Amino acid sequence: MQFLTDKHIDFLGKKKIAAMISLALILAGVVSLIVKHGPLLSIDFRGGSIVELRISPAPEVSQVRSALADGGIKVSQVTTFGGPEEVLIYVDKLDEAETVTGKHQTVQSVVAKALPDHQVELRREETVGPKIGEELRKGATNAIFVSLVLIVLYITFRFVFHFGLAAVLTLVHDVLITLGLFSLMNKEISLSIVAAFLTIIGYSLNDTIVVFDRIRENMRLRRKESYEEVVNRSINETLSRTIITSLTTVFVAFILYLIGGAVIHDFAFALTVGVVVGTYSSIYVASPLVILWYKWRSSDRKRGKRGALA
Amino acid sequence: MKRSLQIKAALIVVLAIWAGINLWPTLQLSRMSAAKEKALSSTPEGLAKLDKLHSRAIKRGLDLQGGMYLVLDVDQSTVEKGTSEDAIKRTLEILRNRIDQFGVSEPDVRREGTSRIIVQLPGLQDAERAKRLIGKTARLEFRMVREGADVTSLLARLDRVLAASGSLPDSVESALDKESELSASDSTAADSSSTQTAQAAASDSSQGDLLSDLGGAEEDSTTEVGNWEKQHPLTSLMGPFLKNRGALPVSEANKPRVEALLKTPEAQRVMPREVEWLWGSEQLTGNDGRPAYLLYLVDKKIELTGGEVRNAGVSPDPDRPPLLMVNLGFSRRGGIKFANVTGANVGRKLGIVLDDVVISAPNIRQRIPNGSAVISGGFESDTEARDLALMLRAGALPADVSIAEERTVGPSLGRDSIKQGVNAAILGFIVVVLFIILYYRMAGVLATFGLFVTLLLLMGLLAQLHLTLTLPGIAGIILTVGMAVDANVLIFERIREELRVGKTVRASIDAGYANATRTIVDANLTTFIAAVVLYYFGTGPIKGFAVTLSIGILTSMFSALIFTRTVYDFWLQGRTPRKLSI
Repeated sequence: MQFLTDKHIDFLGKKKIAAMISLALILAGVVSLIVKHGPLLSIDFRGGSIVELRISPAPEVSQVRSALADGGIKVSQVTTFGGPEEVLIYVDKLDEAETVTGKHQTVQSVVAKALPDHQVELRREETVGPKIGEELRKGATNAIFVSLVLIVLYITFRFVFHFGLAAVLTLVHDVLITLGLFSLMNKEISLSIVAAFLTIIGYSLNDTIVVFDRIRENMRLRRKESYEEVVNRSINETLSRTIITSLTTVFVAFILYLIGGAVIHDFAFALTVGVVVGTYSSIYVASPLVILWYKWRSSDRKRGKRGALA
Repeated sequence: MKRSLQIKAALIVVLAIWAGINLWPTLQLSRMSAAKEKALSSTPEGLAKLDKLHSRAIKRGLDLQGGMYLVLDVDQSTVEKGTSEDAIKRTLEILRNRIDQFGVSEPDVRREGTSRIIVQLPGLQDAERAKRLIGKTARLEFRMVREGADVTSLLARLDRVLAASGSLPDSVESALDKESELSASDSTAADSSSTQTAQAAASDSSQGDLLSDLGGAEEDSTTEVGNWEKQHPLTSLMGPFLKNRGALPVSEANKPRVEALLKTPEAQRVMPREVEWLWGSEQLTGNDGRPAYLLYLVDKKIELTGGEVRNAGVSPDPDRPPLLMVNLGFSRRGGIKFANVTGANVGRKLGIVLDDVVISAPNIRQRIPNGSAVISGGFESDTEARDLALMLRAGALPADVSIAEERTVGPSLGRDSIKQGVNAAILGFIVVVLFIILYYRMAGVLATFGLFVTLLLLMGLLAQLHLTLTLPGIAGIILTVGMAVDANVLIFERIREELRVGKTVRASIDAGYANATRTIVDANLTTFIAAVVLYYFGTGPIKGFAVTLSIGILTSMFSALIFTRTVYDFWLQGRTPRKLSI
């Protein structure tokens, strides 16, 4: 079995359309990010507490909310999480009730008392102090920044600098689109989403490098073709590999999204989106950027100078 | 057979056997039923065997088996200068001690950085209790309680200076401002007048509280309420001194105001240097059913500390059945001190102070010579009494600690996560395998074996390196399944290209591997860089993901470049196939 045996698709001819699609996606995300004053951060980064309870039979969210209000526990948000029996509670300050002399009321005990004919079970409780939140925020930003720098260095070492630059711009493109989509969908950025971003970076890069590697090879082999022709040929030659690998990776990411459970739901969502965007960008963003740079550096596209770039 | 081929084949076999041996304990444990595990742990030999299995098996993270992860900040300001290193070491030791007595299997308490401690308690049931046990300093002190003239004269003096200064403390005023805004909707009036309304409103409400809660002291002065209030800004917020308790009752509503007043510089100035006000832990019920608290005047001088407690336990409280009381046994030195203190202070009240809260203030009826004491009352539950005894046995923390981060996962969520993770992994594996076999036929079957080798080595390494498998870790493995195929795809596509150009099978395979190797190394190394960075900057669960992802990249490269290649080389031995199923 084989797909795409006749591979002479003019990808670069559609680069203007691709550029418009990319810009539109990025713009939508960036506008959403600006309107909402930055990404929606989870408690990992802004500090705070969440408590997840399993209450069976499934209660009304309003029941839980009023139970907590009566129990004197201040909450900012109560939602279901994954299923109607799973209730996620964002507690303003988990330890506020725990004064020296006051009785410490747990979220679980308050809800259990108010809903006596329900079974209330603690599923998860997370508290992140403001100091740790700050540290995690710094750590996550550093992680993304450091990995981008290391990647530019590696590609410069293995290829040439402007390949590295194009690759990193492509990665920024991928992460911006995914980040924007998270903002548009009001999904929170947590530690695991940052991990997903780094995986997307790694994955998208993998794709981009396979194309770059072929460009590097074809530059040596096909000295008579123009730069653009070589790039287009390279994309075509690696196309079936790009598609097969993307498919298998999207399959597993999507399965993880469907049945992996509520805890890693958003993580798997980010991966699925990221792999699709990463595949698209390695074809339609990375290679045009390489050509753009090339054209900008040499107005005459004579063959002689090209060798130095590849 | 070529020598290099023999070496490669031997390497693969050795690695596979090594991975199998490493994984054996994990397999045995995962197949063992709960009943069998219980039966084994009943005998010492069985227990030893079980421990051995557990120590060699892949550990499940807290998010998979349920449990609690705590990051504690050690408050350096509560430690004497120059002793912080020692203080943290002792804190670690005492925490370990407390947790051991609490009874959790395989707790992990370790230090991180200069002033943090990470506590991991797997399979924990009562998270709240554990947090109380870990976070409490448990500094026990015996200090004398002041009563009678000492208290009344000090209160009179405080009332005088507070009334003279005429100003309520800022925090009280701003709190009252809010109240007045609620009652008077037109609050845009000039500042001075609005403050006056505020004071009036406050006086009314506090007087009301006082009368209804605590029976009131000066009921006859209702006509001059405002005036009396102004002259007694502090005592008007309290009930009369309770002789049998040795303390002043304060309603819950008035408590913050009393605290704020006592903190004012005017009040601080007249406070004698040797005493301080401390709250009691006991919660009383006022006449209207609302809670009230006790305020004690306590000597700053510490007669005896928890450090002198040799042992502590609980027993039924004969005065308050069915409640428990805590029995203390002092060291020899402590016993002598205690005898002296009680002997010298018969008739007075001895404050038992835990972390600056008076938990009990019993009357000293006679000298207690036998070096033992009891703490009764003030416990809301038996657990609280038992936990206090436990903490007194383990000792007080040399520094205050606060919980900076907590992640608790209930056992049911952990079970669900494993089930869902394993299901996703199996389904993902099946889909990927079906797809590549359909697409590459025999070569796809080979790639499937390669996938098995990848996973076998990955799990073997996890066991060998004693790494912990977390839910993000499982996600990393699943992602590896998807991406491990990539190296095979790169090779197979290359071989197909070479075949299309008309090369022989052998030449195509050679050229395919040769050309793809460079691409595979470049592409995988960049992902590896991202994974390693993730490992260094990530915390807890993220590290688990980074670990499986990076090990997965390495093992998938091995499987694609060495394992499948070796299989092809074997197949090509003494054979010149015309066609290749790819």
